[in-house]
Amino acid sequence: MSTNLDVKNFEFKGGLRTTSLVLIAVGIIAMICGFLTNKTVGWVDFIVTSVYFVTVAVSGVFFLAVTGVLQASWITPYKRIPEAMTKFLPYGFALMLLTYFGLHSVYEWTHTDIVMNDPILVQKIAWLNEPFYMIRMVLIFAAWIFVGRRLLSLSKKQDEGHDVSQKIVSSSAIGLILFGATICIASFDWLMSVEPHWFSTIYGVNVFSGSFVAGMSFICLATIKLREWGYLKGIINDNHFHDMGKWMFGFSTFWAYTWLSQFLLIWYANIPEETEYYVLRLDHWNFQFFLNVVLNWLAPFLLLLSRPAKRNTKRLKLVACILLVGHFLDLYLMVAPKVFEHHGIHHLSGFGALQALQWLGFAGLFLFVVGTAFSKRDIVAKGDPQLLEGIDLHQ
Amino acid sequence: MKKDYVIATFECDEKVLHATEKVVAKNIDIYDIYTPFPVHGLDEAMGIKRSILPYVTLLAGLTGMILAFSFQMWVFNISWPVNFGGKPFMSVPSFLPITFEFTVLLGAHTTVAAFLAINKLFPGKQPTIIDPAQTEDKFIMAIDKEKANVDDLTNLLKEQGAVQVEVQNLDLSI
Repeated sequence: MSTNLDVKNFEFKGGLRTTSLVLIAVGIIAMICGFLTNKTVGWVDFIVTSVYFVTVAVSGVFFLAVTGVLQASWITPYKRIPEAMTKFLPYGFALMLLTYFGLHSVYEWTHTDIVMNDPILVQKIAWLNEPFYMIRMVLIFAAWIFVGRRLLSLSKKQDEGHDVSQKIVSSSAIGLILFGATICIASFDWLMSVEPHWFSTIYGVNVFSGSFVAGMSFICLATIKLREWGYLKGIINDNHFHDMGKWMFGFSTFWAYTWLSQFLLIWYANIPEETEYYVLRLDHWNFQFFLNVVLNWLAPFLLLLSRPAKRNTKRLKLVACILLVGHFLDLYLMVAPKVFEHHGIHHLSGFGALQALQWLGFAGLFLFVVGTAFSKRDIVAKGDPQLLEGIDLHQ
Repeated sequence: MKKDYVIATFECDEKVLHATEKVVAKNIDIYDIYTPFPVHGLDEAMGIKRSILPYVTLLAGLTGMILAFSFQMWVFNISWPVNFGGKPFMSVPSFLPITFEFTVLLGAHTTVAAFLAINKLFPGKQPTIIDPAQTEDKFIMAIDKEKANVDDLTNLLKEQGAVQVEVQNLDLSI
């Protein structure tokens, strides 16, 4: 079924394109400056920022899969945005492959001499070794890119007029299972293994919830901006924004729930090998530690609590920006404290303008890739049989 | 209390929705509309004010939060201080799960109770049935007879697709 909708397709040109290219240039300069001042700080920034945008991109896959398995109609008017986000994954893969050269600067377990003399780490060698680490990375990205491409090709088939509804459901279900397993392994590998002695089983869930909030914030921000630029007229109404507001509100609270679950159990049990994680952050990163909770939960919770707030695009834009910054701080606090302590770097030397500029550079790349992918297809999923139901959204 | 109502019967949700818009545009108060399922957009069309329910929930939730937190504070600091694992008596993190649970508990239960009270629902309540078909496939609009000119209203409703318009003496106030 195809629908005749008179909508202008997105064109990726002019100000936005220039801005993203300028941002990429700024980011590269900031990155070079970062590496020149301190190699370790440079690699921490590179890994954190790469993981950040990879998780934002992969949350697009998750969003498509979860709405695909539910056959949700309310996503159809802005389905193309998460679809375009999945297109960043191959670039994210390339960035993550580059981190191979920084493994020694960041991950303690890559130093064989340390591992061999450490009774705990020596037992983890079967999992924490460089070849297997890289193989896992390849497998994780293979799974994500596979699921993303599969859902995208089914969506293209829909545009050609085929009925693939059942195939979308089954592919999405498989995709969700793959995603749930891989996001945990990915966060254990890329983030948690920075502190190889310490572990937390809810870590993967915490990373996932933060990532999905950031992904949702990007989708929300993109939709609002597209409407401001004159696209999606008559397609997106306040009810769609209300939905996105609820997603951000709900998943931000879910993030706080997992965050507190991890903190509370460790605080209560008070076992030294577990508490070291929080002792380090509370001693030297106290301000950022609590700022993280304010940005990722308290501020969004209070700002989005009322119904009119979730339907107000100005408020949504503000909260989406807060959450996007919050997710960066969240990931940064997972990696930097231990690495800096290990290398004797003062904690504030790696947290400032240089990191923000680098983040902007990656954001430019993300915008460029996603924007280009978004401009290549119809702005709304015209072949989706549920499109009209999705546009005519009520509460 | 029995009163005269203009009772209009419609056969589909879109028609009753458009009729509602037309009637409201003429500044005629609709007493109520009885439908077999929730019709999207009908509340807005009828100009029904938003429910105070969210504020009841907020208030109950805040009450639960303050009650739970202050009770734990009182128990563990004043009434019966016990040393748990060498932690201070005033350990905020350990208060959080109970504070959270009691916030949710009081908020949720009060919401249900307030919902029932606002809608005047109670065990043994007799449903307002004008025509049994309103529970199956008909949409029935009731308008207070005194608030409109019956002939004009009948014409308007018929134009909008009402299959039947008649005046009935009913008690709809329960």
